[in-house]
Amino acid sequence: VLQRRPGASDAAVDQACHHSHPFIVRLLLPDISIDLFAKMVLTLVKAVLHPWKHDDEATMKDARVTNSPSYPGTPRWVKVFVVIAFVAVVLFVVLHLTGGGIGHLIDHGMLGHGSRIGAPKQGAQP
Amino acid sequence: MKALRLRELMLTAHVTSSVGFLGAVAAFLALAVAGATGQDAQVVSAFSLAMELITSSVIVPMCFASLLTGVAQSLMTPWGLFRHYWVVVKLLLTVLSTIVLLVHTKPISYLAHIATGTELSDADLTGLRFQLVIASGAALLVLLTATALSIYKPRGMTRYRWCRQHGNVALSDRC
Repeated sequence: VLQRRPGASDAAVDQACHHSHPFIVRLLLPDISIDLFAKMVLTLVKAVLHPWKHDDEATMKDARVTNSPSYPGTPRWVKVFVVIAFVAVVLFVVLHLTGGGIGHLIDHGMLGHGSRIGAPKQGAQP
Repeated sequence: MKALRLRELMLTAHVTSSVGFLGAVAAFLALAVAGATGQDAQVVSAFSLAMELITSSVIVPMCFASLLTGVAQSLMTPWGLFRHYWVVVKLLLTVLSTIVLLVHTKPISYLAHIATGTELSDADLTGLRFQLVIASGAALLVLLTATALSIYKPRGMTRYRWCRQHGNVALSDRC
């Protein structure tokens, strides 16, 4: 594929590739089809990104992947627990942020009102 | 042999601290309920002091001991720390319980501090008492859940362990 057609001149090759191929393709591979070039690039990219999937290296690793069982997924009880825990945490945070928690009672509810615990109440006899 | 004995020692420490943690929280819940529903101010003050004493001297140390021995125990056994879901869930429950406990130590100490000086008759403290009842009840429920997880050990392997076991760490399609 990479060889030039017999008898083709440089001018003929340039003429044939001028409108259909990019310059770098015409420079390096003057007589190659663009589809084949695209396939080569795609194969090269796949080989770099996923070397174990490369066709030429489909060896025991691929066989092991094929034969090994797939991950069964997260158990149902874990999902239920995650939902319950999420609701509990949100409830806890909301309770404390909205002032219903213990910290609010201490910071604002009791000390903030100036009603010292054990102090005589208004209207109470000394 | 030496490793086995060390593992048994760690297991004993973990079970002891966990059971102690559970029992102390149950005792705290009983005191909190009695304090929230009690009518006698002096008795309620005594309950508050007892709650603070239990928290500082039993619950907090047992909580940290349970957490540390649990982590050590899991790392020393084939169960691992992130291999099985029940271990991960138990760790999560213990960590959350520790955080919530540390959040609530301040109001418990405050309640005891107030109780040492005067009688707890102010109506503002009613909400705080019931908050402690709810918190300790929730903590008891969480600890019972963790105990049940330790006994039943429900099935479920984490994705991490699954990939390691099947040697598919690099082959991430199925993991």
